[in-house]
Amino acid sequence: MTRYSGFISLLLALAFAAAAAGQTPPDLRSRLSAGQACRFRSEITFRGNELTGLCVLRETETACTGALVNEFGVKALDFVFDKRSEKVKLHNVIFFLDKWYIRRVVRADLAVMLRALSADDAAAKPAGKRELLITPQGEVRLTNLKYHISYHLTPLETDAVTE
Amino acid sequence: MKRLLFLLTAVLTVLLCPAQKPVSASEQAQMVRSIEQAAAGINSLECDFVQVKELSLLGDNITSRGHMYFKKPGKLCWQYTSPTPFAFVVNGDKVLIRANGKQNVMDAGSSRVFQEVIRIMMSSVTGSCLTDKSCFSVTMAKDKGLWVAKLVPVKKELKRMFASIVLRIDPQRKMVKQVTLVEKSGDRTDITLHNTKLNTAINDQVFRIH
Repeated sequence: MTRYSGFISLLLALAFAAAAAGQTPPDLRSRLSAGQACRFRSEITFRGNELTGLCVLRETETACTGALVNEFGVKALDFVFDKRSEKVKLHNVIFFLDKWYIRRVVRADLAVMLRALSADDAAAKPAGKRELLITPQGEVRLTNLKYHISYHLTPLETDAVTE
Repeated sequence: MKRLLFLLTAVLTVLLCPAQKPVSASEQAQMVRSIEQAAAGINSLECDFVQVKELSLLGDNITSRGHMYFKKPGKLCWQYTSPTPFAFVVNGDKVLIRANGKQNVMDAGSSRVFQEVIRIMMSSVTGSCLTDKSCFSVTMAKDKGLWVAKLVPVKKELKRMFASIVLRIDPQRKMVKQVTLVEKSGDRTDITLHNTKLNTAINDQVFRIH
């Protein structure tokens, strides 16, 4: 038994590491579950280019709706994540992102991120060539390794955006 | 009975409260001329602003605040202080974007969309865009004591981003009080200018691009 206990421990450690992309922190989870609009600072990096701005998410029983806007308020896109089908639909995509090949990648990446954020348990390792990390502070980092796109969401204080 | 009274009040309010009043062509020309003259006299402008972005799909708004500096010719600094620090500085043909502790310097001429957006930002704060027929078709109206200029983009680059831009102008000072960007999806961004100071000395350090 002792011969295999180290091996079993290693397997368990690997299993936990794979499972622990991170869990949505309880306060963020409760705000999302309560249907509150949660705001994040967003950074999307692609091949040395960066899109910064804000991301707003709001959850209902069946879906998670959100928008990405830049600091000037110009919207990049709206999205709706259907919790049942675990698919994302994009709406009102700004013209320079409105190409089928960009939409396809962004849809898939957002689905991975939103699936993790709307789950009550720790998120499983994402499928495909992606890395996902959710920190205890609620920061979300998703990297699409195939296309070298990274998404970084940092929660904003709730009173930082209200009048 | 209560419901009927409420309905009646609502209907009367709509009928009696004047909506925007369009103006005649000659009055429009006069208004535009007076704004153009006032804009020509603005060498520098400094103000606070509050920006409210409507997100109709979410039923939510995002409010941002900051400070803006403008100096002729060709200098603009748009600084957001909340919800996140962000700065956009234009100085001649260079543009600086400062966000998340990083900065990026670009050539203002690197994209046509970029050039047009910068041009709108510079000209909308003074109202000088009203005479730019190559960029906008303009309709003037009056609403609640303000002059309202609705600018519909003519150029393809701006048409792809905005359905219209609306300026609300103080008719006494001939100064822009509010800029509303209406996107093609119908979502709006209202930028209200406060504490506007004209022709004060603005340190060039504000517009410095390394």
